[in-house]
Amino acid sequence: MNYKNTPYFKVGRAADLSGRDRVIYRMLEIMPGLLSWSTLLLVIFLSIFAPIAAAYFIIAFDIYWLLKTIYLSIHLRHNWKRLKHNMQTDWQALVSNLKHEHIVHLIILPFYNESIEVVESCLKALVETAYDKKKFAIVLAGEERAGIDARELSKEMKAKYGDKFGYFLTTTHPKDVKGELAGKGSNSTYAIEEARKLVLDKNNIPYEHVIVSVFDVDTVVYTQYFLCVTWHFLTTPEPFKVSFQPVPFYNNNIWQAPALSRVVAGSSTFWQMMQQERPEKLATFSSHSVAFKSLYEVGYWQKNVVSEDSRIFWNLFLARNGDYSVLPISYPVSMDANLAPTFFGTVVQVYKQLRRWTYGVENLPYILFGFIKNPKIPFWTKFKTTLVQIEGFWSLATNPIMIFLLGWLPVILGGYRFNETVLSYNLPILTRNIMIVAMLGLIMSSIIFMAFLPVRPKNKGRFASFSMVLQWVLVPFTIVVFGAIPALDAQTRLMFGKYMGFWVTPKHRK
Amino acid sequence: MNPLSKNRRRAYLLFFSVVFVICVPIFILYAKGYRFDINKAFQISETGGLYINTDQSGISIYVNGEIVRKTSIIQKSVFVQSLKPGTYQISVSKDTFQTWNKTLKVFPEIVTEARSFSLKTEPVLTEITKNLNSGDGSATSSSKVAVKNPEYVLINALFATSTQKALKIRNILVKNESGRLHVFWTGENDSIPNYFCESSVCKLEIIINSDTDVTSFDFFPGRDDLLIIRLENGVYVSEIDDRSPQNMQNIVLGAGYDFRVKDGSEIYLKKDTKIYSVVL
Repeated sequence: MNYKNTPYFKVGRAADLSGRDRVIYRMLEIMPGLLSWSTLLLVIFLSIFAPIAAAYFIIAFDIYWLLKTIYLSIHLRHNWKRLKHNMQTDWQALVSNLKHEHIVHLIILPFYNESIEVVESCLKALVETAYDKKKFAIVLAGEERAGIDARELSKEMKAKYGDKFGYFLTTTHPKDVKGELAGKGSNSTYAIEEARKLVLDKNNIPYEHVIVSVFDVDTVVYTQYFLCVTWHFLTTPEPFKVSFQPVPFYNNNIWQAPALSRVVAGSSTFWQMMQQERPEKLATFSSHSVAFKSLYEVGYWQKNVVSEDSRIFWNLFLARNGDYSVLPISYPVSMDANLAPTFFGTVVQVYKQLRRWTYGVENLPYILFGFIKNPKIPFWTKFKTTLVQIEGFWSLATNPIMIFLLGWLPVILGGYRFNETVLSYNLPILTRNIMIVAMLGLIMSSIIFMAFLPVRPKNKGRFASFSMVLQWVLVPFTIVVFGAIPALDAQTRLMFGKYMGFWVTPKHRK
Repeated sequence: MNPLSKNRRRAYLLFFSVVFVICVPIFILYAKGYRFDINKAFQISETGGLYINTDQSGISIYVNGEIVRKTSIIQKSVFVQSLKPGTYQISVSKDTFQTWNKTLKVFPEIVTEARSFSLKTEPVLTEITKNLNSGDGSATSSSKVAVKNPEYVLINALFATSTQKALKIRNILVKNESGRLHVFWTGENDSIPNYFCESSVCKLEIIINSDTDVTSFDFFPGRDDLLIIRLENGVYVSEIDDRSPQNMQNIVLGAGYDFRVKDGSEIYLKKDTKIYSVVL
């Protein structure tokens, strides 16, 4: 039986299963949190009872972290070049050489209670793209639970933009459907199925000609995005075995967002840029594109998970027995950085968004359970993917804490005998120096960040530009408070079965 | 433009893995105090370190006659490492302050710690007058009524109490046994102060070396490693640390002085009927 036809293909959590499967899945849910907490507790335990061993471990870890930073910086630098190259490429000319007229872009825009300004800027950008808009099928996907205003907004947008695209569909995802988690996944799945019936089938559009782009509604596409995706779709040998991942920029409101939010947003962009050069470690994230045929075969996005954007990749990966990957297109889309009316509101919002993103750890039990259940996936693929995924979630939740907080622990907890050793005196000095060297990499971050910034608004002074450079000193703070801690929070919730719901990031623009 | 090729990425990974494997033992050995010895055909030799804490700014710290730090408000201590095992002369000095000298042994992989102290060469003694309207405390003319200075009365009462034969602060017990001070560590071995030990060998008793009998003693304000002692010829501050001859610095020289420490923070001297507060 094909894996996609199994009863556990769209499992959301252990409770969806029964018997032995449920126990296995529950253990897999516990595993990431247990691993992270065990690591942190082990460092504390060693610091008390074996401070010399703890010091060796911390020194080795410091060096590992420094080398990893340099290694990733090389990837970041290469992707920066590639991104610049791709933004300057004339994709129109490249696509013109190919037969592309049959391609239809189905663009799903799920929204909840975002303002008309946010939705409209998304649609405006779509209008301004360098592509034949008659080949665009827009689906503005609202939520019934958002109330009458959302429906009014859809109507207004259809009236204003309906004639600018080949097809313009508005949908309203019904509320309180049993078995669904209120969120983007259930809304997108409802919307795309409506689009299949009302647009594709009605107009006899073959499914294999359709590329789906599912965008957060604050997404503002760069003009050549669809040309770039089309070119990749038409030139890649097996377009139905890949998803197309752009680089998320958070430039829409970057000049209005506070430094803290900018650093977190910038760090997220950099992470995606590094991953673009390491596609075997990449899963789809946020706004991306994928062949309709592939989505249709697996029944679209899961309606019962928070991280539907990455889960769809793993659905396809398991359904195709590991023969599915992400094709990084190194072309940007722009979204909103976190911004609330107050600074404290922004801080809370940043934390919650990071916690939701890092709740992507819910994919780990899904993947590993799939590996247990699907014998058709080659062992080596399972082995590599397992290592990559476990290391990813583990390092996210533990590494910043170990680097910035636990490096001094043996000195504090190691006791008198340890504290009189040269090792004890050198440990904080070494950790500090390695950190300083690693932080030099932030200079490159700052240069890359500035290179992709939109033009400074007239109401912002030169200090605002200076602040865009200076902000990177916040990284040691943000990497712990808005990186490791939300990740640990998410893993702990999963570990204790306190499953998270979908939290919609409010989109506020000043 | 193509992504980084798999081969290039593998090469980077291999390179950094090799760097990691080489660096980890080197960094660990360095952190433990191992150094390349140029004089011994690049053999690796064990070293140790010294940590001198001064508690004061503007003080020069010398190791074997070479200055290693002049302390500042934010850095009042120095950590000197890469020292070959052996004996080192430490000197801590500042103009108008008494010099602190110590000979300390350095052991492999161990940091020998010491805490210096430097009193003014001539501590400032401020007299506390007996009466508020008289500078010398002598009887006033019959036309004036002497008003007693309450501070004088208070401190004088302190001197009226007898001094103790034994004192204990944070597990450090000091006993005066026939004019000799014996200092005992009464706490757990894990928290024994460094001056009771050399390398991993610790003792539990230290004797304060004084030329004459100690008639009274107390802990120096804010320090449990220093004692104020009254000898026949003056009042002194002595360190407990006897890893080399104990430093003894004078507060006041001359016979007939007694002292008291009030509330563990202020030092007072008394000679005959005159009382002085001391600024060190």
